[in-house]
Amino acid sequence: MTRTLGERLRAIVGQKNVLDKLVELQTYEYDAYLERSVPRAVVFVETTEQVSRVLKILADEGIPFVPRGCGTNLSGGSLALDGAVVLEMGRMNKVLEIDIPNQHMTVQVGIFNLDISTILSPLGYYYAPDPASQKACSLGGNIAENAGGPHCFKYGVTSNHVLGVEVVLAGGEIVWLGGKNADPLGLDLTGTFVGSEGTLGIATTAILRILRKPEAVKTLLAVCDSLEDGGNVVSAIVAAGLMPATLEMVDNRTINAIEDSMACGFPREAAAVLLIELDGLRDGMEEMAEAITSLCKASGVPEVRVAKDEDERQALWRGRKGAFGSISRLAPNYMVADGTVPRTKLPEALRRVGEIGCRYDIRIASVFHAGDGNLHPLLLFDSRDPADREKVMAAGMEVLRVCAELGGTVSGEHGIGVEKLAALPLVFTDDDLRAQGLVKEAFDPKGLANPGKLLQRTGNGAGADGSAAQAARAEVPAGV
Amino acid sequence: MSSEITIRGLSPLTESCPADEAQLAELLTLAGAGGAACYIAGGLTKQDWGPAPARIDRLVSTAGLSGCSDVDPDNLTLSAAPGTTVAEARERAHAVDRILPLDPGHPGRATIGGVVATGDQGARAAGYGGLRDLVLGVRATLADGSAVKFGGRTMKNVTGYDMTKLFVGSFGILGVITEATFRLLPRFDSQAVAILPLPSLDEAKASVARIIASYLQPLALEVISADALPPDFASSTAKLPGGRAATGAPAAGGRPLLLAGFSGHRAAVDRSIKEVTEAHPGVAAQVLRDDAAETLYEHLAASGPEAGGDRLGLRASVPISRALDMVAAAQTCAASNGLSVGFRAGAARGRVDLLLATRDGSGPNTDAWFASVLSHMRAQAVSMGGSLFVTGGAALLPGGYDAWGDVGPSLAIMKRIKERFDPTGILNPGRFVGGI
Repeated sequence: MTRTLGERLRAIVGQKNVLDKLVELQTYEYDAYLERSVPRAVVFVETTEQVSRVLKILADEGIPFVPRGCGTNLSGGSLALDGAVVLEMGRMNKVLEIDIPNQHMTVQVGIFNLDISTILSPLGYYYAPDPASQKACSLGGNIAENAGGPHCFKYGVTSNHVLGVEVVLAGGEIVWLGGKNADPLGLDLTGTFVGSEGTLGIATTAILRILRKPEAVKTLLAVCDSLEDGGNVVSAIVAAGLMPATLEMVDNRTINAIEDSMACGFPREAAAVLLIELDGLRDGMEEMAEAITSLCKASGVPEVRVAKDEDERQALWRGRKGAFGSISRLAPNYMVADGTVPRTKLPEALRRVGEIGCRYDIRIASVFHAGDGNLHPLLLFDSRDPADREKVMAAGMEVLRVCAELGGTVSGEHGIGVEKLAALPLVFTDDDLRAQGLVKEAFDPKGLANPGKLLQRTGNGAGADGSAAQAARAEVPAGV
Repeated sequence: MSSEITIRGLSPLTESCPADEAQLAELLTLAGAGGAACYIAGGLTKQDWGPAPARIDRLVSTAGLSGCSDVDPDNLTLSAAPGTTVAEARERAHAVDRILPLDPGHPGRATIGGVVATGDQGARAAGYGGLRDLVLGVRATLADGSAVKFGGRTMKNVTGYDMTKLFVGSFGILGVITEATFRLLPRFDSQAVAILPLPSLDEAKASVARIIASYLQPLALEVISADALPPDFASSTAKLPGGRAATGAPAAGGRPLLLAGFSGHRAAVDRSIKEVTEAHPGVAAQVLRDDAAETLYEHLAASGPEAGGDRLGLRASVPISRALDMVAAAQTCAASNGLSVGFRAGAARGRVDLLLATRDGSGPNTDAWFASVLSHMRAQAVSMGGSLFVTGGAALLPGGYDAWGDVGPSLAIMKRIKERFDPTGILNPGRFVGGI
């Protein structure tokens, strides 16, 4: 970077809040995906005003930028390509307002997801989207990726819970999208912005819908002899008109990894367990739990355990949410294929994923949001072995192809980033992609916001090839 | 063919009713080449919303694009063509024991395309959520004739931009929706609505605040003026199957009625109704159960307050705790201007429908005077952190009135999106915010 740029950035955020030495920048050259790319500089911002001033300078110089929260992104969305400057958002983590009568809160985006609900808990409220990484991921990243989580089945994803967002556009203009009312005027730019992976601008503050904590919660663990039985239970529950808050499944390999690392009480011998949680009024909950137990038995799942108390419930969730971390003990690396299929296609998708694993000789551990039809097969490998790595990339793409063929899509909640650019044609035509490009142009005509992500680059034939080039220069431990 | 329909006083030169996407694409391509302004028409139930179009050369009806292409009860999804009426699509879901959670006004005429394009959602939005929460995917034909699809049939989808959200509520300015896929709900085990005639708006406000702060999860939480309903409302609902006849007098005009609806497990519904009614020991509550509750919602939707003539229709969206403040502001405004006011306030969503009418043609009754009423009510909504638009009675207002209100700085982005999707400006020109 030029000395002039460094000086200009330091004039805004202070001497210590710009990193531009290679050794410092290497901390910011990766996220939870497999590739690496060294940013031009890292700027720690504390206010929307600073973000605006930084983006104005970068626009003057024609330099791209990437907002960064906690770097837990699984699709390479936080990578700084094209010599982009990273804006580190973690210090913007304040709660600005909690408005209980209106059931919303205003927070800066650097706040950890879990902290939001922890802060709300004494007030009897919570924030519904609960990605498994919630201890380590920030709201800004959740907004960028339209993050999901186990409770999406009943309560929806991040975009269903963001009422408004303050955005700094490339060029530095500050604009509020949405607001404190549920149905603001005009195009739903809030909904369009959520899930845009930092390619339309930088969110700095958000107004979130908050929910009253349920009066009662009941957590059941169905112990399945096969993945298919688990899938059938899910279908039976939905068909019976029951609407649990979560329907989460993990397979035997994952169960054992979880038990090895944290002993949460999952039965090691089970082919799969299905974590079913009911919430709502206490009236009728016992009967609903009994109905689910009967449905399980009718679907060939004889054993259903009920969490006896809050400790047991927390243990089960600790296991589910710690699944990815536990898998790390099975192999140096894993790659998550985040495909989604219509719920009824889940058994077929799982069977075909199993076949892909056999064909490529790759061990697969599976975690999935069964209620949403969202698969997370974790393909285990060792990134130090280039052949292994190549094999896993090819197998991952086949998994996504299966999801697309079954009427689903190639990313349920982890985003396109650089990882899945090549998979976009599996679900979109050129016209579909061109229309999405129009939105990018309208928000960011100069293409400075997080370049090389979400949509293929147009014009010079780069894009997927470009990301492959990025991959070539990287040798990275993933899933850290 | 030439059109006999008049939209807001404008007569289209031609009327077309494409039978498939190919015909629609050809029609839009031709319109684009000739710069012909197209008005996209479904059931025309919301033609009075917002401003009149700047011009209409060609009326494009979606009536030829009709039917449910896919109903998948196990995956809880339904896909329907734009000209399908909401009532028909709901019936298709009902037939497979599912609920299509759409509750717009006039569902017998309102179409899938129109409801997605306007985002209209009525009383049951409290439980169902808004259209933006329910549409999983859309297909659309753009101004250049290209057919595009976004989203899909899965609950979760972060593949590319969330273009579905961009199209929901876009009033046809970006393209013609040719199919929408919705999330379905399982059928309720049970449902019920408590109807409570309350002595005052203050009491209604306290009551809804209590319900919202409680563990109860209402399907509908409406506070409505008795005169926003047909005069025989109280007696007719009392006669509905399962309805408990009101012991007191029917709600007098001006007294608010609280409608609190719940759904789910029967025990949970019973407990909810009990809590709500016991909080008002002196009030004679009617409780409508199951089919009778359904009939009430149908009645509400079908009998929506119709603006026009001497009645100005307004819809506000405000933070939820301010919904009844908005009603109070309307009552004050009406009283000081010699107007009557009918209202329906979705207290869990912050949606407030107002109908302001002259009493027997009295009052100053000039367009400038109605314009000042509009701007006063809008200022109230804005001061509460919300917005307000005109849903009917444009004839009462002076030319060039602002039907939508100020969108703020994000309007510039909306304009840039419109320019890129529809560079020749043929799709519903002038119909949307900021003159888009």
